[in-house]
Amino acid sequence: MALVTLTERTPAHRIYRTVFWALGIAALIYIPWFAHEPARVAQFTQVVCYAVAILALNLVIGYSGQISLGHSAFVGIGAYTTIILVADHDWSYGATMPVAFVLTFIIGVLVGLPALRIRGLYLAVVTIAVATVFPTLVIKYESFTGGPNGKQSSTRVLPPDWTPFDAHSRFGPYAYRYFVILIIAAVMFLLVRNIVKSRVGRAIIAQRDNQTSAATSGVNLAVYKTLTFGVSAAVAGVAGSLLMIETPQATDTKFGLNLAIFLVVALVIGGVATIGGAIPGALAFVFVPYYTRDWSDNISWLQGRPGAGAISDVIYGVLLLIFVFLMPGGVMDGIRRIKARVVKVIPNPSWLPKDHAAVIVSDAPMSAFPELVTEPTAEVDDLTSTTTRGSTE
Amino acid sequence: MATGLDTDKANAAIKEGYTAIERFGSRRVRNWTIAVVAILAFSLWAVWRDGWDLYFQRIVDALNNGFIYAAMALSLVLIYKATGVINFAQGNMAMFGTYIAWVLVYDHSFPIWLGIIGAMLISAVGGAAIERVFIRPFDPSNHLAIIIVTLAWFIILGGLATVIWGADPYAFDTPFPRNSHFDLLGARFFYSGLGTWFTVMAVLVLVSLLLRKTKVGLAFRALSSNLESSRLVGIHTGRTIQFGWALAAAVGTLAGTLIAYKTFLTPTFMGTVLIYSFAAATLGGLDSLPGAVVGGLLIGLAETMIGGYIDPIGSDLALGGALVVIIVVLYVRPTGLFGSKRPERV
Amino acid sequence: MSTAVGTTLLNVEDLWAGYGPVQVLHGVSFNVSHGEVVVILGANGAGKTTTLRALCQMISTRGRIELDGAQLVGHSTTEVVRRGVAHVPQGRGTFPELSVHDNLEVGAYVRKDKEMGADIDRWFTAFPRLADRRNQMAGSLSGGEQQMLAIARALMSRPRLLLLDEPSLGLAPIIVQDLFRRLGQLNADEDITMLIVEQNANLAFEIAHRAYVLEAGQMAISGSAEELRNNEAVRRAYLGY
Repeated sequence: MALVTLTERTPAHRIYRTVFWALGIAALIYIPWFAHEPARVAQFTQVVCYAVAILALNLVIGYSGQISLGHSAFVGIGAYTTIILVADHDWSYGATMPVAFVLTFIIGVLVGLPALRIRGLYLAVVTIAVATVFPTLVIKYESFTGGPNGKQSSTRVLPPDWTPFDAHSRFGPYAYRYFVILIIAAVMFLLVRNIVKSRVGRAIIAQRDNQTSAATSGVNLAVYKTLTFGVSAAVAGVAGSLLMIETPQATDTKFGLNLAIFLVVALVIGGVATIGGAIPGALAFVFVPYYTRDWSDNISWLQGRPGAGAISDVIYGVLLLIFVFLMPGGVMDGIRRIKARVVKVIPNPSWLPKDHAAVIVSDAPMSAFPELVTEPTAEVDDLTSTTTRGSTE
Repeated sequence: MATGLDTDKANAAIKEGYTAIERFGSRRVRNWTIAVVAILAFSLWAVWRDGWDLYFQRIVDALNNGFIYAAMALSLVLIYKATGVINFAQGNMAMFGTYIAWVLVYDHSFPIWLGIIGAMLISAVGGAAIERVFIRPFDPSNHLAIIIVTLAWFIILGGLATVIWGADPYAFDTPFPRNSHFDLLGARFFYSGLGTWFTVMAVLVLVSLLLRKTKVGLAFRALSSNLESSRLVGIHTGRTIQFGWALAAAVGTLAGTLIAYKTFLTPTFMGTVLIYSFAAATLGGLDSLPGAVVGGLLIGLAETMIGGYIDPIGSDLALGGALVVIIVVLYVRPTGLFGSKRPERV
Repeated sequence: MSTAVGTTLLNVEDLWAGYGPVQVLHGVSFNVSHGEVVVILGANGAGKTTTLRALCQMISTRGRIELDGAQLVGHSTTEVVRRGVAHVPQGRGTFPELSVHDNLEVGAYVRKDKEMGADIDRWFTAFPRLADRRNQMAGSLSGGEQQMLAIARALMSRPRLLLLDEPSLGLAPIIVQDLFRRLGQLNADEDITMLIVEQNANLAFEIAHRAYVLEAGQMAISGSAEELRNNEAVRRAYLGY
């Protein structure tokens, strides 16, 4: 039983939400000083970049209910677009982003279209092939991409004079880049959130949960799904560009199948079908391999073995299994359950007549993976709520 | 017996028969003709350009890879038929099994065939264990969760192999007489290649017999056809699916051991093979076992012929060709050549 | 096999069943005696299919289900089938990719004796149209043929109790007539006990001994087929006149 009960659209609820968001934003702003070391700040900046990539992936896996194992290629295309334009053609980083967005959108639509017309695992098969082919293409077209040596640029994004960051200190540029990337990421999050809440988004979620009824409702699902996939690819491309702002270096090994699969793992850990899940997912993505790679130094039977670093892969995979079995809704679901014990929010939509009794939403845990549950689908109004499937047979 | 019943049905059957002939006449024949003409044209051009000997040789070489892809595609289709899910860990399971064969043969001096069969048995047990512990707890219709589990095992097995054996390539010999060959009709047949053909063919025959003549094979086919009804008939669905996983794991390991002498053994050596096998399974029809075999052979042929004759493509882009094949198949005939389930449009 | 006709074969008491948090059956009780044909009538959504699925333990249930005295609740579907219950589900439930012959063969999966081949021949004799198509894929058969196949498949396990879920669904009236005539024959000649669930019950009543009416997950009326046929409410709602 919850400690506190709030009804939507009352002043108390509004205050609760404002405080919640204010705390969150404050925490995000504080990060560079919390991190202190430039290298650490860079790590957190990477977290933000990968959060955008995971968010993009969630549009396909969480909300469309399809598996994409190829988002590494989209991140890579975005990254290479940016780095090539900056290094070879003197573009500014900012200007490359719309290009990356549009280019990856088009490629995403081309890749997704054949597979999304048909139900089944075809998208997974197509995207896994895309993810594998992309690095080979990068190597093949060396003159364009720099081949196995990759491409880099010495131009870096530096804080202009009117910001409080000193371009000449060590810390300043890193902190500045963190905020630039954070703002762009926030724009991406808003974009995805609006898509999910829009009519297109609802149609996509409906077909994820029940293909037949969605198909009969007259919605052209193939088009919606393909466009959503395109947007997902585009957002992933932006993530790639952001990565180049953080560290302007692209090589083929960074954007291969491994990345694609690790993004999926991060998504599951964070929370499938949640907007906010991208954040804990990205944190896991960056910090789990970072910390576990050091383990291999401490475990005696691993020392001296040439492949010992791969133990972090094993741990990452085991972590995924643990989450799938124990917390399939990811970290976000765990947070939601804890929240539910403390605060209970009673929905009060504006279209309900004033004297109507409020609808009590069940507190039963909602797994992000489809289950035979008949809860009404929750609103995507905060970062922890999950849209689930409801069906009776 | 009411005669009215029979006449109605007879009329309906005749009508259906005619519509079928019409449809066959209009599209299918046309498509097959185009395909055959294209292949003939390509062959004539290839022979004209580089001679009959090279053409024939390339076909012979292509079939080596083709049979390996066929075997891996078979594993993929086995699990897909039983569970409706693609096992993304299949490649790395085969890789791990091949390492086990290596350990048996080179660390413990097993004769090579014994090592391979031993590794196949161990893989079968491993596959069965993975199904029992990590797949069965889930509702069979929860495809997303099961796929995530296979992805997890993909990562774990890849990492584990790297930790245990390192990333450097190991040599794994062919179980057939190395380097001996005979020449026939202008092409060189290596015993290692021929051996691969016949071993895979033998395995295919065995699997086919297993499925058609044994009780567990009947249960497997029934389960692939209608999961709920197979429960109603008293089939232990869990155990039957487990059988499928064990069989798929064993076949996968065999494929790995047979190709290892060419590609060398590394933690990622089955990666591209897996992609080609996906293309093969998609081409043949994800739920068709004979389709997987035909698909594998065709992909093997396409890889060698197109990679060999069309220079700008070469071998590194042949993988891209696999991707193109998948996409084209999905556009033109999503069920593949032999798949039965009609693809449901979104 | 069936013991003395007239003794209780299936006894169901206070059965609750549902799907997750949705309860469909609210304490249903009924019974079937050896050699009887019992029909359960009900509109869409009343819980007829749920009842049969509950009997087979395909969904979570609470209550008592006794087959010749042995409790079924808590066992797996496989176990229930081994105890002698055969279920012909809604929509036939044939194995479309298997041949007609294989469908019958798999029907006998739980049996360990050697007479399965003889039984298959028996059913081919009883349903010559199936014999004609013995090597065809079951999915290519017409609706009526598939229904015959499904029933024969169910009977291959030599069950004590045959459950049929809306066997008339999707079939032309003239085929349904033939179907129920055969079911009646099977019951009369071979003492096969049947529990049939139907929405449109005219033809089912002709072979039924007793019937129940299920409404919104609860048993509303029960009695002999004769009594229910004369019951005005039942006639209006389920028999169409």
